Amino acid sequence: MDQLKADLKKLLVEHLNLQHIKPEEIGDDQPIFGEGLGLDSIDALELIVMLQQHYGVRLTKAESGPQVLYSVATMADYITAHQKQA
Amino acid sequence: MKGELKILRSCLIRDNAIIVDGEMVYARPGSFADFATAAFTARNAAYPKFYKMDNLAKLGLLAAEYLLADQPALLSGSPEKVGLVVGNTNASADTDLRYAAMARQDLASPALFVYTLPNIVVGEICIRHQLKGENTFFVMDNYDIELQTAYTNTLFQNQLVEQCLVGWLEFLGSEYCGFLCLVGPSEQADLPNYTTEKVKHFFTK
Amino acid sequence: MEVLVTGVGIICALGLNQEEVLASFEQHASGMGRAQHLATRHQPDYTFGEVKLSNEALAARSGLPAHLSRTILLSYHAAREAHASIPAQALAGARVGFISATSVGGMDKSESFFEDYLTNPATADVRKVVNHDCGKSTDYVAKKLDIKDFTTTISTACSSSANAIMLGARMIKSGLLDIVVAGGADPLTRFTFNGFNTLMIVDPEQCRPLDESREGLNLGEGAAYVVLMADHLAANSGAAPLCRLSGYSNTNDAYHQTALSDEGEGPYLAMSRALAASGLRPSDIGYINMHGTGTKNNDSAEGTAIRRLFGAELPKLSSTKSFTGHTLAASGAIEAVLSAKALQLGCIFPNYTFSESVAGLDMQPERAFHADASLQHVLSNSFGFGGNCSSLIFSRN
Repeated sequence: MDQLKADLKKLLVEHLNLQHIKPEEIGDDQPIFGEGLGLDSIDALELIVMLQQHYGVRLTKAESGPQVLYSVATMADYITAHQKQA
Repeated sequence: MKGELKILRSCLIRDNAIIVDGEMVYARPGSFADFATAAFTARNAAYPKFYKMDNLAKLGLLAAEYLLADQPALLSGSPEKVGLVVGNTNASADTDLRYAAMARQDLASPALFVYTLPNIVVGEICIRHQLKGENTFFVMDNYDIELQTAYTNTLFQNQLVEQCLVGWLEFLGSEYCGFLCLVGPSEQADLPNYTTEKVKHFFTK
Repeated sequence: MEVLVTGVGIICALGLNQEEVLASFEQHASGMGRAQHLATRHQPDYTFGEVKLSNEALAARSGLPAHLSRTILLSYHAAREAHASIPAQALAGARVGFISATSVGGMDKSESFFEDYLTNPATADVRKVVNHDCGKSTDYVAKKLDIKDFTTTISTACSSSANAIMLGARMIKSGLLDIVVAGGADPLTRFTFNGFNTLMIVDPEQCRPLDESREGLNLGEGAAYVVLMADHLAANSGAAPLCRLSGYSNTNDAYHQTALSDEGEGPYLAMSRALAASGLRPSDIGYINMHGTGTKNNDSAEGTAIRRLFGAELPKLSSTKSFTGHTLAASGAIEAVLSAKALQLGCIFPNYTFSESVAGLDMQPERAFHADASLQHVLSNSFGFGGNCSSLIFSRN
């Protein structure tokens, strides 16, 4: 789980071009939208694509995007719960 | 706003150099990406949206930043009356090709798709500087300065704008050219008049 | 000097010309359904507003080579219908311009070239990308129509062809041209469909603009052009105008690349300045053809802007995108043609379906196509990505 969170933080920085932030600076439970990382609605879509491509987990409209994408911890929980077995 | 239409300031970006009113103010060899990031953060370290933009949008935002950011008094028109008239030849082809390449590998990037339209760079400039006036994007074989100047003059004559950003923003592969001028009425006699010849002069420096 | 609309041309999911398009509305038949010509693996699951002709069939009708980009085929088809309406007497000695808009350009061919190229560069047909850039389709069509005095291309996303019409009017008013064929074209492509899909604003089912239950847009395709003519030239040459272009405005919402501000500031400014330009008051408008894409954001923001401007007394309004789909760069012109026809024929276009108003706005679009002889002024909205907001006002001549 810790490795997953660390990987997620790296992916966030790379994928969303967060050049002003280091992965280690992102807190596990820190809200990533709004103030913290300056993410917007397009970033949310990028994250949905990222989760699908890297972890095979789909987020459809029916699911609660804002809750899953709330923080690194909530994303890690979602991936662990929904990831297809290799 | 009084006075003749003048080129209040010009900014030309090419070959990893930024030239304002004919004087080089920043240069950094290397990739465009590194040059643009360094140049932008040198002027504005507090706008992280810059890093997510595509090449064309970075080019436009950089030109606007060097044109406007260090002299806030320059942009004196009311926000709804500052217009933008910009164009290029290749539209958003640089990003179109990147997006198509990613899509080929079944990697869809919504953030990249957003930039597959040439006028997004205009939108980004408007968001950064809160400009709400008339704005357009022409796709032309060559930079038809005469057409652009005539068009912009019409906007002023019909009192649709109090100031206007005009220019040419081109990016394809390794070739790019970013050019923006702030045009508006001024009683300062030493400023160049807004004419096709003067715009050409700053464009070809 | 007034700028008149003396002719129109149109092709879209509803039909191949203005008569067929009108008939579709009279029969309340939308053009939405499964794609028959767009080669996408999502074909079984998504609704599109596709033109009901293959490239080969389109080309055969126009006598063009079938390998051309669908953008050119659609553009020429509609521009030819518009151009044919110009009396020979008006053309003689007139300075004529062609101003076209597109967001796709030759991408439909480039995207298939790209696949071939990646598979085997040696055999990929480079001719496919010859017309890739946006200006090429404009130039091709201008040449076919023998329009020489002025051509240009505008590319500002979904407001493009409305802006093309604005530019045409301005060039006539400033005495640079006498006649302008202005509008735009965009075909369906995998590139745009997949892109819009990743933005999660596409509804696989038929779209429901202005409805609280709306889930997104449907992509459409097509082309449309209006013939703009100086009033004295129209009078002297016997051109029978459909209406007058009495006002227009373009602004930037300055909020987000792909979403409108909650208060609909850009749309509000565009509509109010178009009204000011035309010397009209909100109460003069008899019908609004909304941008109305069917996305949560657009309909809410545009609706809010309309309420801000019109207050308690709303004119009749609808989104015809429920019939045509969102035709991107062509939408401004397609809806301009519909606005002109509304004034010429004295009729109002409806929504395809409607059950519940967008929350908080209490906006009820028209539900049936009907005659309205009292119609004097029509407002048409087109808002594009990049915050580009345009409004056109047409008036009975």
